[in-house]
Amino acid sequence: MSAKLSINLLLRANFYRLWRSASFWAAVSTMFGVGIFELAVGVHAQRQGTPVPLDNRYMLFVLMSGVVLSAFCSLFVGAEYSDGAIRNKIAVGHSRAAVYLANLVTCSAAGVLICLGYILPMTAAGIPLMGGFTLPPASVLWFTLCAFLMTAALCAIFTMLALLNQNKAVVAVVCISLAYFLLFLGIYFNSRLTEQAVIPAREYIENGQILVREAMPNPAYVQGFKRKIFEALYVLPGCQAVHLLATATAVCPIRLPLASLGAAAVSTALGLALFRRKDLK
Amino acid sequence: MTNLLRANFFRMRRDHMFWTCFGTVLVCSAVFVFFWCREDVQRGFQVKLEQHYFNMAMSLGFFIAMFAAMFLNAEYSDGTIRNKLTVGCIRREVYLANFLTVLTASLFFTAAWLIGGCVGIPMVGPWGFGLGGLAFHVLIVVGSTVAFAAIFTFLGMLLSRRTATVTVVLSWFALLLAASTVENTLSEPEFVGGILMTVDGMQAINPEPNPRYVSGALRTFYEVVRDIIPAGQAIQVQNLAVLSPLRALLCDLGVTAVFTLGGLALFERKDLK
Repeated sequence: MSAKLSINLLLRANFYRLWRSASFWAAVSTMFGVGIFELAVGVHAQRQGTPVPLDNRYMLFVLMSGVVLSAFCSLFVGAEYSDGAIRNKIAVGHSRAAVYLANLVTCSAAGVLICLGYILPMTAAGIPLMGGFTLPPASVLWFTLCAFLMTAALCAIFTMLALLNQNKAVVAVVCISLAYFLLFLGIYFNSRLTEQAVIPAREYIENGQILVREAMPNPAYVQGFKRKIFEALYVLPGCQAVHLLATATAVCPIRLPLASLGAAAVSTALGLALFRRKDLK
Repeated sequence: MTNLLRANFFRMRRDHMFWTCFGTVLVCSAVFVFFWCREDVQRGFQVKLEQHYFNMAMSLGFFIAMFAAMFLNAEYSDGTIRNKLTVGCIRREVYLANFLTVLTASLFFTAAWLIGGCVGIPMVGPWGFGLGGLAFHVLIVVGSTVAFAAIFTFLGMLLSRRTATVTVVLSWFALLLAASTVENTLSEPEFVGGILMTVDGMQAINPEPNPRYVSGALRTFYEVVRDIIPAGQAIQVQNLAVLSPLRALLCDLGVTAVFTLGGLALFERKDLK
């Protein structure tokens, strides 16, 4: 069997299973529900006079996607082991690399569809209700592309973890913990890297008098080698969700999608190498 | 019941997830409190230990969820639950023994957090509000821990499918999101304004009522909802702002009773195949 035919057959089987997967539809429904909720919050805030742009609500899906995808990937790929499908695939002549890549492509496609579950209500109902995006369409599309690439990178990591461990419960716990960890790490990096180098002079009231405090260096400012390390880790998938949101009002830097592609390539190469040697029992 | 508890504790002592969670809570608590206190000392801030000590309170639920999910899932996947019933144990005892095991593990995680956080004492001294204040806040955390254990045992015992692990862990996330939403609503200030920055500097202006401030019966309702959600109590402890301790403890008692009694009733009728 040629590699191309093998991959095609495996992809067809995987997508057939995906459309019938309860965990996939649960993930899409969750993101859809969160999308409706965030839209309602935005509309409510606008009606109370708070200027909340649609962009602000639209972009929130990057924060949720990691946790939802971790649950989906661990369940979907884990079923390959628990149902014995993986051994069947190898027994009928598919290579391990083809099995691995087919799962990766399926999970990445599912990741994008799950994100679309949020984007769909947000754009279909959000534009008429909240008055459209304030950012140019090109910036919104670029942000969405960067977010999809980060989603694919996360899927690559979760697929690797799920295919290298046969215990579905352990994989689920590890993937979800990793998603939380990366998200909170991103929040931490964001708070540390956005500290100002100098605390500006400010006025304050004391005993009814307006006093002035001179500008001073900020001791919380991260600098030197530590700053370089923090900046390097801040582009990791998961952490990057916070980075994407923080830079979305400008233009997301090109290093973010490049870092996603790099993380996906490294995790896939590592996963393939280890999966080839794995004892599938 | 005694035999079931003995068997569960025997398994808990050999459970990798238990020791992983216990070690992670201990290490994270010690490391985070150490770095936070060190940073404040280096910056010359006058800090009290409790300002950092309770920061881990919110994440305790996550470790309880992970342990409960793995421990209870193994009961079904290894067929242990059927073995227990086959040898004559009644369902009620099996459920209660599992609940008490999850609760014990949760209390161990709480102890690990309390011990780990003590690394800040040499740097910033003991708790500023004294042992009484510490005991009060720890009591609220223990109450929320018991409620978390009851909720996760309920889910873990009634969901026997493969997705149970994911559902239990994600339920913590859902509870946290719900509590954060309520907390955000309640933290809106009653008045906005007061200070206006202009090109001429700072000017004091009359504060205006905040339209997003929730008041009256709706505020009381939100406060009760925040107390009912165990994660909401953890957030209050983390912020050192427990509004009504008695109500919080009563809510814990109510949540524990509802989920345990409901779980017992539903587990009696569950088809264990």
